[in-house]
Amino acid sequence: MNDVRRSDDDVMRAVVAVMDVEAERLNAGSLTVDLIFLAYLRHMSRFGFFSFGPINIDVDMIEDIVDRTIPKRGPGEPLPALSDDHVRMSQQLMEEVRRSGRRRIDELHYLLAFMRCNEGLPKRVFGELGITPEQIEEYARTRAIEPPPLEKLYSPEDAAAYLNVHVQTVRAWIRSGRLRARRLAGQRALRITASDLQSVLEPVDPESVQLAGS
Amino acid sequence: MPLFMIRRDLPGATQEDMDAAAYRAMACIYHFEGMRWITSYWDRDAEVIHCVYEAEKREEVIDHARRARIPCDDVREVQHVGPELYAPAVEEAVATNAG
Repeated sequence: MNDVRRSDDDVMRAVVAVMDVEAERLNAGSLTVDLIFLAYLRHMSRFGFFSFGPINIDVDMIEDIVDRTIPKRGPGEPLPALSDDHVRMSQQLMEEVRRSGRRRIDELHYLLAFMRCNEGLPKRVFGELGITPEQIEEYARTRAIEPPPLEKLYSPEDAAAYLNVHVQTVRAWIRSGRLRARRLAGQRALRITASDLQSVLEPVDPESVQLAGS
Repeated sequence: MPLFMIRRDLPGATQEDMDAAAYRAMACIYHFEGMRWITSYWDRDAEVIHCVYEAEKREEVIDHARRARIPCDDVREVQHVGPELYAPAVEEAVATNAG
């Protein structure tokens, strides 16, 4: 795993699907925070390891621990339900979602919820690693190099309409360097970005505007 | 797919409790094939939420709540009624009257 926020896939659905498989495999009698932690690590792992910045976890080792410690499901017992610690983790998870301002639950929300929930195996693992959620947040911030949003592009005609001037005026401004424009690759067509278009609009000194003038 | 109206009593529930319960409901829904959470209405004064789910059986709705650790105080099979079902008939009546 190279980027903890690698996709827009439905992370929750994927993690829960892995949890169901692990619950079956380990014959779990309860869906504990340890089990969802294992499912998360398994979902995010590459070649048996979960790696993100300073965190490096052997997922098979975690599975061994969960297998040894999780309550087992007896014959005829109903499908396991979420345990108390899992319920508390769900509250921490939603707290992480609120804090981040990102509405969609992503991989980083899960990771920080495990680090902050102070429950079970996640508490032990992150305690032993000596890594804080703040360090992970900082690491995630430095890695999140998102491209700037694409700007709307205007043709000289669009720009003239927007500025309420003649198209020849726009072309004259482009020729004189007053308005920045770009050419579409390999073509003559000109395009002006929204921010370049805004740059020709100069703020007015109120005192310089006569009441009767325009 | 049958439609169910579920009453969940939530005394003292906060927005945070509701968010976490919604997460758990969604996280556990995939286990039940064909189950869909259609919508919910939370009456904060009455401290109750009414949820509409599609599910194969009533028992699955109850089992889903048990698994997700959310309340399930009453489950009734219901039928959807909405303006879109009547719009053509209403339009026809208006056109007839106008003619």
